[in-house]
Amino acid sequence: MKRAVWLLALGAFGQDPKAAFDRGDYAAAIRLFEAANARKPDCANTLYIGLSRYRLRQPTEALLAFQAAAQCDPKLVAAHLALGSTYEERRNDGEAIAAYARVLALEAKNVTALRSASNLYLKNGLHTKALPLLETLVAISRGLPDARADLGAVYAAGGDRAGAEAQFRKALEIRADYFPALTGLGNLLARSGEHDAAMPLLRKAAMVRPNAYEAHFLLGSALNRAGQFEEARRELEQAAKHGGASEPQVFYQLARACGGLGLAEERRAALARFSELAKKEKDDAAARRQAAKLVDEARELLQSGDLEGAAQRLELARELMPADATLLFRLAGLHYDLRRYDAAREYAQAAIGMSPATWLYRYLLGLVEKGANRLPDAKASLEAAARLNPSEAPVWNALGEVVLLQGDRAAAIGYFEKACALAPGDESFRRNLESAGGARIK
Amino acid sequence: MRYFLALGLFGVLASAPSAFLDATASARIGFVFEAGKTPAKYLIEAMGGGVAMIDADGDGWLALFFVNGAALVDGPVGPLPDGRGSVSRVRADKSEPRFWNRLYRNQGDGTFAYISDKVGVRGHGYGQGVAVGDCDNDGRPDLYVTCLGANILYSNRGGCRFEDVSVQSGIAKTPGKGLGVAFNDVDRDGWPDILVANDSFPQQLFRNRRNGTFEEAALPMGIAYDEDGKVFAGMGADLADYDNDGRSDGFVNGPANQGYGLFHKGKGLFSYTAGVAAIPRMHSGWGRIFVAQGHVMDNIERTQPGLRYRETPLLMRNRSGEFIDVSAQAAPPFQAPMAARGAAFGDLNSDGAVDAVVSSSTGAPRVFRNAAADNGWLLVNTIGEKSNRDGIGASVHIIGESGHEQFGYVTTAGSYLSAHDKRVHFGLGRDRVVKRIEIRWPSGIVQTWNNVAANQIFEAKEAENGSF
Repeated sequence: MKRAVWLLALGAFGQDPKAAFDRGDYAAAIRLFEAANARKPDCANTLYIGLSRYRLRQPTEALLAFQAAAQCDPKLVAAHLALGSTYEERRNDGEAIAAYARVLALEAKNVTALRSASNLYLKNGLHTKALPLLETLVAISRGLPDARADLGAVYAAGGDRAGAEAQFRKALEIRADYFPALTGLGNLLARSGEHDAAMPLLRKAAMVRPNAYEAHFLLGSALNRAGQFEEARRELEQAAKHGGASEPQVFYQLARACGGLGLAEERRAALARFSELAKKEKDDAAARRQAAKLVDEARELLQSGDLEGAAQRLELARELMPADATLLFRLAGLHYDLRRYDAAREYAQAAIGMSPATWLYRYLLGLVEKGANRLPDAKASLEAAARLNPSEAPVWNALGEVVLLQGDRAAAIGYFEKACALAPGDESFRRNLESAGGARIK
Repeated sequence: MRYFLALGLFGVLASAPSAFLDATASARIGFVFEAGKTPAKYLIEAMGGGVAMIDADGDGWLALFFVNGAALVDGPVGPLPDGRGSVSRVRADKSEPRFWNRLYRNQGDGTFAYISDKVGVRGHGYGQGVAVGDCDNDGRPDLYVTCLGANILYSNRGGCRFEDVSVQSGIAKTPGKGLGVAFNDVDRDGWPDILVANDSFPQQLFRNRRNGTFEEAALPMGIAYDEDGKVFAGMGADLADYDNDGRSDGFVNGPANQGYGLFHKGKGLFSYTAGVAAIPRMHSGWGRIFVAQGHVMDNIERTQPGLRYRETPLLMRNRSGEFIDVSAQAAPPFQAPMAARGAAFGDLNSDGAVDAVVSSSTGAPRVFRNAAADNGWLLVNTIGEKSNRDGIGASVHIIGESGHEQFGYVTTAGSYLSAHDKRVHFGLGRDRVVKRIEIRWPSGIVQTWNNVAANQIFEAKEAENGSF
């Protein structure tokens, strides 16, 4: 959806989309745009290069191109939007918000930037920052139920009950079955003691999304407030069944319902589960804080060249956050740099176990196996990485090196050629191709 | 945004002039609250500390107990496994005498004397709040001090000697982030229980097991979390019967953005009651309001010019239910700003007028002596028999000879971090006789007394079939 928005924004330049780009031949498009830029620099061409890189799943290179386009023409709204969106995908919310803010400085009523920035603010709990953006958004785009519902949620969080109710109701006028507005308004009314008005909304929400735990949870909580414990218990059991089994609040409400029904044993069991989950939540938060501190320390040690110390800090962080794939990947990388291939393999495999579709983890495992001279395993892992992301030149290059070591020169040349095609400016890939006996890439 | 309000509602008839004098210098209290301020500006530095009025030695005069902070030391608490660094954490160091909690004896002449550090209350950890109650029903008021970490229960051994019984009582087993604390008998078994407000930590309810030990039971009793099962930043705590059903309900206030929690006590458990701004102190006659206040941030003026770190106290007169700010016309103590935190109310000089002691986050406390002299008064000192020994939780209803009715409630809680005189004060105006006193004890016993003379500390002992 975001990509479509960029393309719409590109229309503002009055330039026709380039044929190669339109037919999806992004590698060719990059070459053509670069050639055009060489003849006559054009900021829009740089932006198209970024878009092509993005389509080829080269987010880092895409970001660099978007950044270059934005620097080339600071008023290029589409470049800032593309930067914001790409940073958002990389979960770098700070940079994404900064990019959207630049868009809004250029176009205060840019709907995409208003929506994206307000979503990011809400995601990070910055309601006061989101508020003016949402107010502008609903003023210029009156038919957006999501903006209305978001604004309602912000008003509710700020204690403006009347404002919240009005926005939720307007969202429901636009779309009568809009789930966030149904739950938002239902919850608001239930908390104000207006049970008769709240229940139909929450019941409707549960019908609209019968598999969403939130609707059952909010309905169960509202029923508890209204003293309808039997139905509350049923709804809360549904909430637990539909994804709420790890949410402590579901069991707290279930305990309330059981208490209301005089079911002492069931209440005790629900409270015990609540305590267990609440403790886990608290422990996880504390572990995340401590692990983040250790990762920071590791980064500093790494910068000072103390790889050993950095690895030790990351090991400690892993003990706190054993299920963090990124941390495992970092550890694998450090052990690889320290040539501790067994440890590196263990961590890389653990990271892959958690995130099997991440090509980077498989690429690293391939490098580790190559370092350990386990060439068949290296080849298998690099082939998997190449399948997951065929546009990463280093993967093909590494694959070429492995098969060359295995004695398959022809296959190696093929892989090196792919690497050179994807990254024509990379000298090391060219050298590999040449030493394997392949043709010089022009 | 945190803004501390230590609030007292006390019964001085509306016609009485405002007559508070600044008795700080003459009281000769040498205490200075030591927050252990650091450049890091830890939140805890801005929170404390509390003050309590307690008749520690049973001589009828209220002593003053001050909770103190500690040095905050950011230091290693253990090595990292690789030996290349250490795990660091901020810890409270109370070893220096300036950080000790202190008890000052009321010498009966308007002055207070620091007894000694051998009283047994110097404490450990970073102290915050204090409550007064007779945990073991031995007739001697005990002290409960909240701290960051494990709280402390000091058992009064008589003769102004206290013993830290936190470990043997089970209190130390469940540390928290305690601030406000309140005593009351929540299960009406005749033994006082303790509610602790915790900052961003589950609230705690210590049930008295009637053998010198307590069990923490806030979760099963339904008072640990808000109605969503979420932790909130508890600041002040109170236990009082807001709906006159004879059971003490719980109240825990928090920062403005989190609201306050009112927990209604049913037959067995507490249940969260939503949408409450403040707990009403029931039927308080025509009491005035005294608010000691100060902002949590010592540089708030820079970012919010309308606010002040140091504020003047607020005095509001009650005119038939309408409160009017009379601070500007009040005596000089009300014109001096301070970073106020706790405030304790009680009759320090046994003259029938309610005095106040206000603690500060930045130094010495201030003593407000109430010099109102002309009006009649009555202090009701409840002594439970079947109920808890203090009679905490008892409702007191009086009718003066003029027919003016007033209601009171026996408690030491209700002010941020601080504990009041547990005796119930009534201002009587020109009445010289109280036609009728009715006390509804926590045990359910209802007792009445007729034609009680004004201007006395009236000792009301609980008895079956009591009508006097």
